[in-house]
Amino acid sequence: MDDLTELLKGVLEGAVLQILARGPNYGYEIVRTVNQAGFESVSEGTVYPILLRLEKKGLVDVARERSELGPPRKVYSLNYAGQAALAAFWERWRFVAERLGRLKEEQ
Amino acid sequence: MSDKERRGPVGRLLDRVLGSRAGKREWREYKGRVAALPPDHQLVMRKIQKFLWTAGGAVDEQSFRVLYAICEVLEESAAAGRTVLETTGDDVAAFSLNMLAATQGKTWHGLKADQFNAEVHRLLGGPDGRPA
Repeated sequence: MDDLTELLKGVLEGAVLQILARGPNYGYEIVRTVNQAGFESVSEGTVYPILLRLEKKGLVDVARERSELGPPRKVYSLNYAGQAALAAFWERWRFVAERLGRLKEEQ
Repeated sequence: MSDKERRGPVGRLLDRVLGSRAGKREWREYKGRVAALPPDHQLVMRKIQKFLWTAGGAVDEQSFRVLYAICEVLEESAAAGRTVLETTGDDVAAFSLNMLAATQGKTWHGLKADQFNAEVHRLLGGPDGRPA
């Protein structure tokens, strides 16, 4: 499906939180998981700002893992505040989906 | 490049923000890390730096935070053997501005927008303009 960009704004943050709910992960692996979930056009350039925002908001913890070659890799994990944010996201998602569905039925 | 920067408005911002010893050390480390990037990543990092300081309307020490964060992303990209545009996406400006927005409360444009809204409300005698 093409041109989901506008619709996905705000939703991708929830997707990233959900992916991290499975366990700690690297930025690039998170991008790949989003792609494999069916959002193929979502790029690293879109996901890194989201991760930075989550970090800034204190919803994820960041550890720097030493690597054999090159710089340390950032590992993101969902913390308690992040779990609460994820639950709140699904609640908002249900609200929007339910209201839109109702709007569609009403006509 | 750094000597030239220090003479202009960016130089003054640098001096103000990097006034602390820790700030200066971080900045020096950043410069070293940029210099260690492969050519394409390095070129884009330098272009982003200039872009965020002019077009981006970065206004505070978060302008530095965002550069450090972008540098980390580009370092991982280079270490994993990905091209710089694979990582930033073709719209390098959007990537940069989204990273800036993620690190920073308000950009220059955001502050202008707040001032503008406050003025309109004041003129209309709204919440911000009520006499005390």
